[in-house]
Amino acid sequence: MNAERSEDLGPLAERAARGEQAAFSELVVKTQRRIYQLVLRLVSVRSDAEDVVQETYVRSWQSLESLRDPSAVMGWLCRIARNVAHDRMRQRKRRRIESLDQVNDAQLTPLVERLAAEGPDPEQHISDAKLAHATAALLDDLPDKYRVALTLREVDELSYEEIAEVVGCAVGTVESRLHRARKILTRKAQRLAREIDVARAKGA
Amino acid sequence: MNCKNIATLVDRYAHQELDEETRRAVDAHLDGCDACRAELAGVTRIGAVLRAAVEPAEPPAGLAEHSARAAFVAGRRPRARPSLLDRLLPVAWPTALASAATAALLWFAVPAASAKSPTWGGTIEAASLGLGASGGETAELTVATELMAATLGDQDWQEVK
Repeated sequence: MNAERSEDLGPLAERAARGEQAAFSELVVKTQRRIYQLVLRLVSVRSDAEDVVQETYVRSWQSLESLRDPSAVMGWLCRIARNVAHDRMRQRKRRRIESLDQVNDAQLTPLVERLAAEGPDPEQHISDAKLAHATAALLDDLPDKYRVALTLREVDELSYEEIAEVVGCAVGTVESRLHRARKILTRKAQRLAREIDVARAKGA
Repeated sequence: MNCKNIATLVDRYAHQELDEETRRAVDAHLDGCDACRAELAGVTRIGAVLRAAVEPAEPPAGLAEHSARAAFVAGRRPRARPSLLDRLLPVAWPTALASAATAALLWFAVPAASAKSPTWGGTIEAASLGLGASGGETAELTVATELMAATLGDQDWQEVK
């Protein structure tokens, strides 16, 4: 976790805006983790995420002096990161990890059963790489804004406020996106579970 | 506490982010509500699956250094988008005047060459040179600021401005 609170970055941003390279370097060190998290969840591919992060800092150094409120530097950096990421995704449609129908039923079944189950499910550790693959495919099928909010929350363990800042929306919007994301994911899993059942019945 | 209040709290409850009092209120509601217990189970289950299947985003070593270095190599730009006021004052006015003066000179020179429309040729040119040609002004500004930056060095230039 980044121990630094976003508002505390103000003085550093001010010095960087005046052209102090050391201050900018420190600002990069203190913000890169959050920026990388956001960007990776947006573009999904690690090498792309690294490029986007780098470009984000190149652009921010170029225009830091136009930053009106240095204490809001984190939100400002995130906005640049989102723009760069969107440019990147427009250039080449997000490289999909693998589309759902390319993942076979054998890979999908355990995941789908777990997600579609009605009752409570004790936390089970899934280490199977295939299962991870199937989850990634299922997640990749979610609309961007839902996928980003859900992974930042569940995998990167950001708070609502942190997600609101990096994504650039209200806390209430984060709440509703998370709710929606889980609904869609569960519905998808349940539909897949039914399809798998049907396929099994036919095969039997 | 009812199901509607609970809906927004379930996620924070699952992540153990609630204060003691709220947590106890949610507990009390969950005890008697199957629907909300199922909701909580769903949140927990999806979280567990995602955490097990997706790696947390950890920036690779050296990314910060690379990024900062790339930024310094690319350098600074004077101003990405100068405001209208910046464009008109104070540097632009001398440019506009100079253009107008050039145009005036042209205006006197032109009638001799082309007898047909001596009145408008020069004036229109003056208008386009002096007032409409923000592209030209910006280019001049950029050249000027780059010269300044080159002479003063990056940091001094920031101070001067």
